[in-house]
Amino acid sequence: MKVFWRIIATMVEDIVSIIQRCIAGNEDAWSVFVREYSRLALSILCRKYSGLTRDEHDDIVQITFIRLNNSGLKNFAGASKYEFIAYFSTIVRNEALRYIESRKRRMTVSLTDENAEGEDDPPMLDIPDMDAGSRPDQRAEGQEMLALIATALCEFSEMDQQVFLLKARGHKDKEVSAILNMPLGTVAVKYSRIKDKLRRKYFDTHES
Amino acid sequence: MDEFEAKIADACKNLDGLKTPSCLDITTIGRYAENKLSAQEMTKAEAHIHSCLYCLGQLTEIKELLYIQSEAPPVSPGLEKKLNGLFSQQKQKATGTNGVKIVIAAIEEVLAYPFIQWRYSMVSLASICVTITISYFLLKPDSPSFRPPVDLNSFVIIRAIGSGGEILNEAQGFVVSSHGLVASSLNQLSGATSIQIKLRDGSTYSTRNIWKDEDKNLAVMKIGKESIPPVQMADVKEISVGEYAYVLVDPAYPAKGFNEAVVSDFKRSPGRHRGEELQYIQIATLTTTMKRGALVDKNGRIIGLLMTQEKNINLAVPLGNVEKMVSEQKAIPVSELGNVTNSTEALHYYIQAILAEDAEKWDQAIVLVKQAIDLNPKLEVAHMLLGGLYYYKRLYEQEAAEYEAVLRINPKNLDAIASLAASLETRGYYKQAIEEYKKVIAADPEDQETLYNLGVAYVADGQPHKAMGIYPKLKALSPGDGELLKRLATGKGK
Repeated sequence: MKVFWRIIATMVEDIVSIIQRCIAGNEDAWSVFVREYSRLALSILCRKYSGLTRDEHDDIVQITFIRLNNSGLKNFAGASKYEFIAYFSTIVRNEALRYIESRKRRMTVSLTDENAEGEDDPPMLDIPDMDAGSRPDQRAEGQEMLALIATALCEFSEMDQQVFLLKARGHKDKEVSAILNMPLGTVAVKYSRIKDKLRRKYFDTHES
Repeated sequence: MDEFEAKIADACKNLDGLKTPSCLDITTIGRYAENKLSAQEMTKAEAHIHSCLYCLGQLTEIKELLYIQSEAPPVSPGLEKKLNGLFSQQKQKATGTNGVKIVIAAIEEVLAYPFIQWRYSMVSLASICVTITISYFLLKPDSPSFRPPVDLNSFVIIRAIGSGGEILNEAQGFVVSSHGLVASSLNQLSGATSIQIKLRDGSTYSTRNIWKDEDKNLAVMKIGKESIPPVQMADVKEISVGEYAYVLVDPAYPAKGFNEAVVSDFKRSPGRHRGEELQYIQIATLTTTMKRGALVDKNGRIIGLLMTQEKNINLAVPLGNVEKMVSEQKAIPVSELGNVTNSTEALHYYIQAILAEDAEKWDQAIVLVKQAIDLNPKLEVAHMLLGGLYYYKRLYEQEAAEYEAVLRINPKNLDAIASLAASLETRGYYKQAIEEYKKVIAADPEDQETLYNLGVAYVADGQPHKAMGIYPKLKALSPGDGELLKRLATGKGK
């Protein structure tokens, strides 16, 4: 009976009310939340951090949920499931990065180092990508490139833009075709067309 | 991946710098990704996303996350258990610190539940509504039940008054003719010395004389007042098996309404000569609380009067010849009626015998009908039925004896005479048979069955010219039988 109600709750409830109930101390709501979002966390980790082992993925998921249980859910201020998914994925990624960091540190620093474990509840940070725009000249070049892309993309349809952006961010053709629900061949064709156009524009401006 | 592509990838890594105040929020983008915006919002969002790389980036991210969420396989049960465990630890901690707050929170949660979970509540409410609607249509009772238009003014209450003036019983009755004749059930009047008839307008009449028909459990009384409208009689010949009929439960309380029933069979007089006259109408009913009362058709006309009260044997008597009965018989004083319980009991056995006969259980029927005769030796129909049963058993002498017993009770019973004649003919007493047949024809010149039998008896007795003498008469009544008799008489039929 209890299981039945939980299934019904998953069908009819939105994540915001589940979170509210979790904060209110409802255990059923928590288990619904766990079932729905632990698999999302694990999937994100598998896709983005495939370098880590299975056990490490599980560890990160656990840390993430501890964080959420302690304060993460209370700090969430949005009102829709999209906001929560974005918030959730940010936390997962942060935790993954933090985990990788601590592992690096653990490799170099002795295991008895208390600081390696960190504080109980460190502030949530969107840890910036250290590689991007680290040097002023690189940053200027990147911004120029971005402006070029922004203007060039306007000529294409929105679907083409999405294909391009996903590909540019390092997704494989197969993933892009699954996310956007379009044939594999189309992805490759669209991407190469936009890329050629950009290349032409880029070299036009730089040669002149 | 060449150098140029790497540059593009680098540039696209961080799009935050492109964010403008007019950029869409994540909720809008998410709803856009899942096509949940209204058409107007949709075009607006589309226009913006098309020209804004930052929002495009958000859109692809959301799409990717939604895709991952939809495709994500469930985690291992062990991990899920661990994660569930996290919460209970937290909760126990909280309970330890402040129990009262938790109790208040729990109460609050219960009260707020329908509002927070409004989708849940709406779904439950909708399903309850649907269930009620469906069950209303499925289990809809037949109400408002059909009510035949009966003129209740024709109905009266019959009271059996004992010797001390006390009311012994109340029964339903109704006015059957404009001469003030009232019909009711005979057994209800058992033990009465006088009868009081109460009209619907409140006036009462007393009578001490009744006409009775024990075969039909029928009592007929006459009241001085002739202005009461009689009930409308239905033509029994027009009623067919399967038609709906209604039993008036209690005319004193019309609100009690009618019991619905279905005409299921017609029973004709037993014996060898089954006359045209209908003896009983059998009805089938779904209720078990059947009362005695008037059986009416859908137009409110009277089909008959219910005579039995058993659960599964519902017989009604047609009232077509009440006036004939009154004119032929003499009324008897009510006090002579005495205890009619025996005759009621006899009738009960008789009816069971009829049903046994229907089921072709001759021996059982004979036992039952003999019990009926023991209780009421004057029950003509029982003797007739016994005669018929002996005929099936090929016991012709005993058969004839039963018909003779009937004739001792009522010498005018034409069915008995005709059956006796047939029995005589079977045993070879053609001359006596011819005499008996002639008696029947004298009383009822249009009885084609008897006419034909008479003709056959003539032929059997070696007087074909006499058979030819009745041929024209029979031919006029029934051409088929006429031709058959002619062939027999002229010897061409062999």
